[in-house]
Amino acid sequence: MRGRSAGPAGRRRFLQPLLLALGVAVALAAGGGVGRLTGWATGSPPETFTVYAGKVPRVAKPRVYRHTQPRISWTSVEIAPDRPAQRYLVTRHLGSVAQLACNVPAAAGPRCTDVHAPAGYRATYTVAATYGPSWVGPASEPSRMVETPGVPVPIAIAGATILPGAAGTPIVVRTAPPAARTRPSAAVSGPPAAPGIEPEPQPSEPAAGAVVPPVVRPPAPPGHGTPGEPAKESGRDPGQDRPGPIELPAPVPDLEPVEKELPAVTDE
Amino acid sequence: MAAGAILAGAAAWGTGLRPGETAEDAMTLVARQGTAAQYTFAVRSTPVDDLYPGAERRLALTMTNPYGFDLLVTAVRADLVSTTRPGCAPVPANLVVRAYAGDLPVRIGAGAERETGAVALHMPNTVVDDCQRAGFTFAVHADATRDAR
Repeated sequence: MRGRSAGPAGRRRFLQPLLLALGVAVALAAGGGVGRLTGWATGSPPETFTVYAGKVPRVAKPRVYRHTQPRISWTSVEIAPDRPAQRYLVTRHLGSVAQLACNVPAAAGPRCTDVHAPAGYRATYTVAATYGPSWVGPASEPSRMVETPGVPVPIAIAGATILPGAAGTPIVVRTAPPAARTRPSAAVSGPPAAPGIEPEPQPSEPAAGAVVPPVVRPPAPPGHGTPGEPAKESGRDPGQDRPGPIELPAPVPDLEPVEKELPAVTDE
Repeated sequence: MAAGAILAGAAAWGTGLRPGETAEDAMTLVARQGTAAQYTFAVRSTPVDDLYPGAERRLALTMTNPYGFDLLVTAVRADLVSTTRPGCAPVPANLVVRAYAGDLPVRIGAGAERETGAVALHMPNTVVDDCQRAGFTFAVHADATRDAR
Protein backbone atom coordinates (compact mmCIF):
# COMPACT_ATOMS: atom_id res chain seq x y z
CA MET A 1 0.00 0.00 0.00
CA ARG A 2 2.68 2.44 0.92
CA GLY A 3 4.57 1.18 -2.00
CA ARG A 4 1.65 1.82 -4.38
CA SER A 5 0.89 5.19 -2.89
CA ALA A 6 4.54 6.10 -2.84
CA GLY A 7 4.79 5.28 -6.53
CA PRO A 8 2.55 8.09 -7.88
CA ALA A 9 4.05 10.58 -5.42
CA GLY A 10 7.51 9.66 -6.54
CA ARG A 11 6.47 10.00 -10.18
CA ARG A 12 5.04 13.45 -9.42
CA ARG A 13 8.28 14.47 -7.73
CA PHE A 14 10.11 13.18 -10.75
CA LEU A 15 7.80 14.78 -13.31
CA GLN A 16 7.37 18.19 -11.64
CA PRO A 17 10.79 19.52 -12.65
CA LEU A 18 10.36 18.14 -16.14
CA LEU A 19 6.94 19.75 -16.51
CA LEU A 20 8.29 23.02 -15.22
CA ALA A 21 11.18 22.90 -17.61
CA LEU A 22 8.84 22.02 -20.46
CA GLY A 23 6.56 24.93 -19.55
CA VAL A 24 9.47 27.33 -19.55
CA ALA A 25 10.64 26.00 -22.89
CA VAL A 26 7.17 26.37 -24.39
CA ALA A 27 6.88 29.91 -23.04
CA LEU A 28 10.24 30.90 -24.44
CA ALA A 29 9.42 29.37 -27.78
CA ALA A 30 6.07 31.13 -27.86
CA GLY A 31 7.68 34.43 -26.92
CA GLY A 32 10.28 34.05 -29.59
CA GLY A 33 7.60 33.27 -32.09
CA VAL A 34 5.61 36.30 -31.12
CA GLY A 35 8.73 38.36 -31.40
CA ARG A 36 9.38 37.04 -34.85
CA LEU A 37 5.77 37.55 -35.82
CA THR A 38 5.94 41.12 -34.52
CA GLY A 39 9.02 41.62 -36.58
CA TRP A 40 7.23 40.40 -39.66
CA ALA A 41 4.15 42.44 -38.94
CA THR A 42 5.94 45.76 -38.57
CA GLY A 43 8.74 45.14 -41.00
CA SER A 44 12.14 46.64 -40.52
CA PRO A 45 12.21 50.17 -39.19
CA PRO A 46 12.62 52.72 -41.94
CA GLU A 47 16.08 54.02 -42.41
CA THR A 48 16.51 57.73 -42.42
CA PHE A 49 18.63 60.46 -43.80
CA THR A 50 19.09 64.03 -42.73
CA VAL A 51 19.42 67.29 -44.60
CA TYR A 52 20.52 70.45 -42.91
CA ALA A 53 19.43 74.03 -43.28
CA GLY A 54 22.06 76.68 -43.72
CA LYS A 55 22.34 79.78 -41.64
CA VAL A 56 22.75 83.47 -42.18
CA PRO A 57 26.41 84.10 -41.40
CA ARG A 58 27.70 86.73 -39.04
CA VAL A 59 28.89 89.91 -40.65
CA ALA A 60 32.45 90.91 -39.85
CA LYS A 61 33.07 93.92 -37.62
CA PRO A 62 31.80 96.96 -39.54
CA ARG A 63 33.88 100.01 -40.30
CA VAL A 64 32.61 103.43 -39.32
CA TYR A 65 33.78 106.82 -40.49
CA ARG A 66 33.25 110.12 -38.77
CA HIS A 67 31.42 112.62 -40.92
CA THR A 68 28.61 115.04 -40.28
CA GLN A 69 26.65 111.83 -40.08
CA PRO A 70 28.43 108.56 -39.40
CA ARG A 71 29.04 106.35 -42.40
CA ILE A 72 29.07 102.63 -41.79
CA SER A 73 30.34 99.99 -44.18
CA TRP A 74 30.80 96.25 -43.97
CA THR A 75 31.69 93.21 -46.02
CA SER A 76 28.83 91.37 -47.70
CA VAL A 77 28.12 87.77 -46.76
CA GLU A 78 26.59 84.80 -48.59
CA ILE A 79 24.20 82.24 -47.18
CA ALA A 80 25.35 79.73 -49.82
CA PRO A 81 27.64 79.89 -52.84
CA ASP A 82 26.37 82.60 -55.19
CA ARG A 83 23.52 83.29 -52.79
CA PRO A 84 24.19 86.61 -51.05
CA ALA A 85 22.30 87.88 -48.05
CA GLN A 86 19.30 89.94 -49.10
CA ARG A 87 19.30 92.79 -46.56
CA TYR A 88 21.39 94.27 -43.79
CA LEU A 89 20.14 95.74 -40.54
CA VAL A 90 22.44 98.34 -39.03
CA THR A 91 21.88 99.01 -35.34
CA ARG A 92 23.10 102.11 -33.51
CA HIS A 93 24.14 101.54 -29.90
CA LEU A 94 24.03 104.54 -27.58
CA GLY A 95 25.21 103.03 -24.35
CA SER A 96 22.71 100.31 -23.55
CA VAL A 97 20.10 101.66 -25.92
CA ALA A 98 20.01 100.05 -29.36
CA GLN A 99 18.03 101.32 -32.30
CA LEU A 100 17.80 100.44 -35.96
CA ALA A 101 19.81 102.95 -37.93
CA CYS A 102 19.57 101.57 -41.46
CA ASN A 103 17.76 98.78 -43.27
CA VAL A 104 19.72 98.26 -46.44
CA PRO A 105 18.88 95.99 -49.38
CA ALA A 106 21.95 94.12 -50.51
CA ALA A 107 21.63 95.61 -53.98
CA ALA A 108 22.25 99.06 -52.52
CA GLY A 109 25.74 98.09 -51.44
CA PRO A 110 27.22 97.29 -48.05
CA ARG A 111 27.10 100.76 -46.57
CA CYS A 112 24.76 103.27 -44.98
CA THR A 113 24.78 106.75 -43.56
CA ASP A 114 23.13 107.14 -40.19
CA VAL A 115 21.15 110.27 -40.91
CA HIS A 116 19.54 110.16 -37.48
CA ALA A 117 22.67 109.83 -35.39
CA PRO A 118 22.25 112.27 -32.51
CA ALA A 119 24.81 115.06 -32.57
CA GLY A 120 27.47 115.13 -29.91
CA TYR A 121 27.09 111.50 -28.84
CA ARG A 122 29.43 108.57 -29.16
CA ALA A 123 27.92 105.45 -30.64
CA THR A 124 28.89 102.05 -31.97
CA TYR A 125 27.23 100.09 -34.74
CA THR A 126 26.49 96.44 -35.38
CA VAL A 127 25.30 94.86 -38.61
CA ALA A 128 23.15 91.76 -39.10
CA ALA A 129 22.41 90.12 -42.45
CA THR A 130 18.98 88.76 -43.33
CA TYR A 131 17.65 86.28 -45.88
CA GLY A 132 14.03 85.78 -46.73
CA PRO A 133 11.25 87.17 -44.56
CA SER A 134 12.37 85.50 -41.33
CA TRP A 135 16.00 84.55 -41.24
CA VAL A 136 18.23 87.03 -39.40
CA GLY A 137 21.86 86.38 -38.74
CA PRO A 138 23.71 87.19 -35.55
CA ALA A 139 24.79 90.77 -34.98
CA SER A 140 28.35 91.59 -35.89
CA GLU A 141 30.97 92.61 -33.40
CA PRO A 142 30.47 96.30 -32.55
CA SER A 143 32.27 98.86 -34.63
CA ARG A 144 34.72 101.22 -33.07
CA MET A 145 33.10 104.12 -31.31
CA VAL A 146 32.38 107.21 -33.35
CA GLU A 147 31.16 110.61 -32.22
CA THR A 148 28.77 112.60 -34.35
CA PRO A 149 29.86 116.24 -34.52
CA GLY A 150 27.67 118.80 -32.82
CA VAL A 151 26.39 119.84 -29.43
CA PRO A 152 24.65 117.03 -27.57
CA VAL A 153 21.21 117.57 -26.17
CA PRO A 154 19.08 115.22 -24.10
CA ILE A 155 17.18 112.75 -26.21
CA ALA A 156 14.54 110.12 -25.63
CA ILE A 157 14.80 106.74 -27.31
CA ALA A 158 12.61 103.77 -26.64
CA GLY A 159 11.58 104.77 -23.17
CA ALA A 160 15.03 105.88 -22.11
CA THR A 161 16.22 109.42 -21.67
CA ILE A 162 19.80 109.88 -22.69
CA LEU A 163 21.97 112.69 -21.41
CA PRO A 164 25.34 113.73 -22.70
CA GLY A 165 28.18 112.62 -20.50
CA ALA A 166 31.85 113.33 -20.66
CA ALA A 167 33.29 113.33 -24.19
CA GLY A 168 29.93 112.50 -25.70
CA THR A 169 29.45 109.32 -23.74
CA PRO A 170 25.72 108.67 -23.52
CA ILE A 171 24.18 108.40 -20.06
CA VAL A 172 20.84 106.64 -19.77
CA VAL A 173 18.93 108.12 -16.87
CA ARG A 174 15.51 106.58 -17.29
CA THR A 175 14.74 103.23 -18.79
CA ALA A 176 11.46 101.65 -19.76
CA PRO A 177 10.64 98.11 -18.62
CA PRO A 178 12.83 95.56 -20.35
CA ALA A 179 9.98 94.28 -22.49
CA ALA A 180 9.71 97.63 -24.21
CA ARG A 181 13.37 97.94 -25.07
CA THR A 182 14.82 97.37 -28.48
CA ARG A 183 16.71 94.20 -29.22
CA PRO A 184 19.97 95.06 -30.92
CA SER A 185 19.27 93.01 -34.00
CA ALA A 186 15.54 93.65 -34.19
CA ALA A 187 14.19 94.96 -37.44
CA VAL A 188 12.22 98.09 -36.66
CA SER A 189 10.08 99.69 -39.29
CA GLY A 190 7.04 101.85 -39.63
CA PRO A 191 6.36 105.36 -38.44
CA PRO A 192 8.59 107.07 -35.93
CA ALA A 193 7.98 105.96 -32.40
CA ALA A 194 6.32 108.21 -29.92
CA PRO A 195 8.60 109.23 -27.10
CA GLY A 196 9.02 106.42 -24.68
CA ILE A 197 7.21 103.87 -26.83
CA GLU A 198 9.16 101.16 -28.54
CA PRO A 199 7.86 100.01 -31.90
CA GLU A 200 7.19 96.31 -32.21
CA PRO A 201 9.86 94.38 -34.09
CA GLN A 202 8.45 93.33 -37.44
CA PRO A 203 8.79 89.64 -38.25
CA SER A 204 8.04 90.20 -41.89
CA GLU A 205 10.47 91.57 -44.39
CA PRO A 206 11.23 95.13 -43.36
CA ALA A 207 10.74 97.96 -45.76
CA ALA A 208 13.79 99.49 -47.31
CA GLY A 209 15.26 102.29 -45.27
CA ALA A 210 12.55 102.25 -42.64
CA VAL A 211 14.23 103.39 -39.47
CA VAL A 212 13.14 105.05 -36.30
CA PRO A 213 14.92 108.26 -35.41
CA PRO A 214 15.52 109.22 -31.84
CA VAL A 215 13.22 111.88 -30.48
CA VAL A 216 14.89 114.74 -28.72
CA ARG A 217 13.10 116.00 -25.64
CA PRO A 218 13.91 117.46 -22.29
CA PRO A 219 14.74 115.06 -19.51
CA ALA A 220 12.69 114.65 -16.39
CA PRO A 221 14.01 116.68 -13.50
CA PRO A 222 16.41 114.91 -11.22
CA GLY A 223 14.63 112.54 -8.92
CA HIS A 224 11.66 112.11 -11.28
CA GLY A 225 12.78 108.93 -12.97
CA THR A 226 10.89 105.69 -12.99
CA PRO A 227 9.93 104.98 -9.39
CA GLY A 228 11.77 102.14 -7.85
CA GLU A 229 14.10 101.70 -10.79
CA PRO A 230 17.70 102.69 -10.32
CA ALA A 231 19.25 104.96 -12.86
CA LYS A 232 20.71 102.42 -15.19
CA GLU A 233 22.94 103.21 -18.05
CA SER A 234 26.07 102.22 -19.79
CA GLY A 235 28.93 104.01 -21.35
CA ARG A 236 32.28 103.31 -22.81
CA ASP A 237 35.78 104.22 -22.09
CA PRO A 238 37.10 106.34 -24.91
CA GLY A 239 39.32 103.62 -26.28
CA GLN A 240 36.97 100.71 -25.81
CA ASP A 241 34.25 99.26 -27.97
CA ARG A 242 32.65 97.20 -25.22
CA PRO A 243 29.83 98.72 -23.24
CA GLY A 244 30.41 99.08 -19.57
CA PRO A 245 28.72 100.59 -16.59
CA ILE A 246 29.57 104.09 -15.55
CA GLU A 247 28.49 106.15 -12.59
CA LEU A 248 25.60 108.52 -13.01
CA PRO A 249 26.85 112.02 -12.29
CA ALA A 250 25.04 113.67 -9.43
CA PRO A 251 23.46 116.04 -9.46
CA VAL A 252 22.31 116.14 -13.07
CA PRO A 253 22.81 119.71 -14.24
CA ASP A 254 19.82 121.81 -15.11
CA LEU A 255 19.06 121.53 -18.76
CA GLU A 256 17.27 123.81 -21.08
CA PRO A 257 14.15 122.06 -22.38
CA VAL A 258 14.59 121.30 -26.04
CA GLU A 259 12.20 119.96 -28.61
CA LYS A 260 13.88 119.01 -31.80
CA GLU A 261 12.29 117.55 -34.89
CA LEU A 262 14.51 115.10 -36.64
CA PRO A 263 14.60 114.78 -40.42
CA ALA A 264 12.45 112.35 -42.27
CA VAL A 265 13.68 108.87 -42.87
CA THR A 266 15.57 108.36 -46.09
CA ASP A 267 16.37 105.24 -47.94
CA GLU A 268 19.91 104.03 -48.09
CA MET B 1 7.64 35.92 -56.07
CA ALA B 2 8.80 36.84 -52.62
CA ALA B 3 7.64 40.08 -51.16
CA GLY B 4 10.30 42.46 -50.06
CA ALA B 5 10.48 45.89 -48.55
CA ILE B 6 13.10 48.29 -49.61
CA LEU B 7 14.22 50.74 -47.04
CA ALA B 8 16.03 53.42 -48.82
CA GLY B 9 18.98 55.46 -47.79
CA ALA B 10 20.69 58.37 -49.28
CA ALA B 11 24.17 59.17 -50.30
CA ALA B 12 23.84 62.82 -50.95
CA TRP B 13 26.20 65.66 -51.55
CA GLY B 14 25.58 69.33 -51.83
CA THR B 15 26.24 71.31 -54.96
CA GLY B 16 26.69 74.97 -55.63
CA LEU B 17 23.54 76.61 -56.91
CA ARG B 18 23.38 79.36 -59.49
CA PRO B 19 20.44 81.73 -59.25
CA GLY B 20 17.42 80.21 -60.91
CA GLU B 21 18.76 76.68 -60.83
CA THR B 22 17.61 73.69 -58.85
CA ALA B 23 20.38 71.93 -56.99
CA GLU B 24 20.62 68.20 -57.49
CA ASP B 25 22.02 65.58 -55.18
CA ALA B 26 22.38 61.87 -55.69
CA MET B 27 21.00 59.15 -53.45
CA THR B 28 22.22 55.61 -53.83
CA LEU B 29 20.14 52.74 -52.47
CA VAL B 30 22.00 49.46 -52.26
CA ALA B 31 20.08 46.23 -51.73
CA ARG B 32 20.96 43.82 -48.95
CA GLN B 33 19.33 40.72 -47.57
CA GLY B 34 17.17 41.23 -44.52
CA THR B 35 15.60 37.82 -43.88
CA ALA B 36 15.20 34.79 -46.10
CA ALA B 37 12.27 36.40 -47.86
CA GLN B 38 12.91 40.07 -47.32
CA TYR B 39 15.36 42.42 -48.90
CA THR B 40 16.29 45.85 -47.70
CA PHE B 41 18.38 48.61 -49.08
CA ALA B 42 21.18 50.00 -46.98
CA VAL B 43 21.50 53.68 -46.24
CA ARG B 44 24.64 55.53 -47.13
CA SER B 45 24.04 59.16 -46.43
CA THR B 46 26.01 62.33 -46.61
CA PRO B 47 23.71 65.11 -45.44
CA VAL B 48 22.78 68.05 -47.58
CA ASP B 49 23.73 71.05 -45.49
CA ASP B 50 22.81 74.28 -47.18
CA LEU B 51 19.07 74.59 -47.52
CA TYR B 52 17.76 78.13 -47.23
CA PRO B 53 14.48 79.99 -47.85
CA GLY B 54 13.42 79.52 -51.44
CA ALA B 55 15.85 76.67 -52.10
CA GLU B 56 14.74 73.74 -54.25
CA ARG B 57 16.61 70.45 -53.99
CA ARG B 58 16.20 67.41 -56.21
CA LEU B 59 17.40 64.13 -54.79
CA ALA B 60 17.96 61.71 -57.65
CA LEU B 61 17.51 58.07 -56.66
CA THR B 62 19.74 55.34 -57.98
CA MET B 63 18.89 51.80 -56.92
CA THR B 64 21.43 49.03 -56.98
CA ASN B 65 20.48 45.36 -57.01
CA PRO B 66 23.47 43.11 -56.29
CA TYR B 67 21.42 39.91 -56.32
CA GLY B 68 21.04 37.30 -58.97
CA PHE B 69 17.35 38.00 -59.53
CA ASP B 70 15.33 41.02 -60.50
CA LEU B 71 13.58 43.32 -58.03
CA LEU B 72 10.40 45.14 -58.91
CA VAL B 73 10.04 48.44 -57.07
CA THR B 74 6.39 49.31 -56.67
CA ALA B 75 6.42 52.40 -54.42
CA VAL B 76 8.81 55.05 -53.17
CA ARG B 77 7.95 57.56 -50.50
CA ALA B 78 9.82 60.02 -48.27
CA ASP B 79 8.32 61.40 -45.08
CA LEU B 80 9.64 64.25 -42.97
CA VAL B 81 9.64 62.86 -39.45
CA SER B 82 11.57 65.23 -37.19
CA THR B 83 13.92 68.16 -36.88
CA THR B 84 16.76 68.88 -34.52
CA ARG B 85 15.41 72.18 -33.17
CA PRO B 86 12.34 72.57 -30.94
CA GLY B 87 11.25 75.82 -32.55
CA CYS B 88 11.44 74.32 -36.02
CA ALA B 89 8.52 71.98 -36.52
CA PRO B 90 8.65 69.24 -39.19
CA VAL B 91 5.84 70.79 -41.19
CA PRO B 92 5.46 71.87 -44.82
CA ALA B 93 5.66 75.53 -43.82
CA ASN B 94 9.31 74.86 -42.99
CA LEU B 95 10.21 72.20 -45.54
CA VAL B 96 8.16 70.60 -48.28
CA VAL B 97 8.88 67.04 -49.40
CA ARG B 98 7.42 66.55 -52.81
CA ALA B 99 6.07 63.22 -54.00
CA TYR B 100 8.42 60.79 -55.69
CA ALA B 101 8.67 61.56 -59.37
CA GLY B 102 9.53 58.62 -61.57
CA ASP B 103 8.20 55.54 -63.26
CA LEU B 104 6.56 52.87 -61.10
CA PRO B 105 6.75 49.98 -61.00
CA VAL B 106 10.33 49.83 -62.06
CA ARG B 107 12.45 46.73 -62.49
CA ILE B 108 16.01 46.61 -61.24
CA GLY B 109 17.73 43.81 -63.05
CA ALA B 110 19.92 41.25 -61.39
CA GLY B 111 23.24 42.85 -60.57
CA ALA B 112 22.13 46.11 -62.15
CA GLU B 113 22.02 49.73 -61.13
CA ARG B 114 19.39 52.12 -62.34
CA GLU B 115 18.30 55.72 -61.78
CA THR B 116 14.63 55.40 -61.00
CA GLY B 117 13.41 58.93 -60.29
CA ALA B 118 13.74 61.69 -57.74
CA VAL B 119 12.35 63.18 -54.58
CA ALA B 120 12.37 66.96 -54.42
CA LEU B 121 12.70 69.17 -51.35
CA HIS B 122 11.60 72.79 -51.19
CA MET B 123 12.26 75.20 -48.35
CA PRO B 124 9.52 77.85 -48.59
CA ASN B 125 9.90 81.47 -47.57
CA THR B 126 7.60 80.74 -44.64
CA VAL B 127 10.41 78.83 -42.92
CA VAL B 128 10.89 80.25 -39.45
CA ASP B 129 14.09 81.74 -38.07
CA ASP B 130 14.50 78.83 -35.65
CA CYS B 131 15.09 76.52 -38.60
CA GLN B 132 18.48 78.04 -39.25
CA ARG B 133 21.03 75.24 -38.84
CA ALA B 134 18.27 72.73 -38.15
CA GLY B 135 18.53 69.14 -39.33
CA PHE B 136 15.48 67.69 -41.09
CA THR B 137 15.25 63.91 -40.83
CA PHE B 138 13.37 61.83 -43.37
CA ALA B 139 12.26 58.24 -43.49
CA VAL B 140 12.45 56.87 -46.99
CA HIS B 141 10.29 53.88 -47.83
CA ALA B 142 10.47 51.82 -51.00
CA ASP B 143 8.37 48.72 -51.53
CA ALA B 144 9.54 45.99 -53.85
CA THR B 145 8.89 42.43 -54.80
CA ARG B 146 11.25 39.80 -56.08
CA ASP B 147 10.50 39.46 -59.75
CA ALA B 148 10.41 35.77 -60.65
CA ARG B 149 10.33 36.29 -64.40
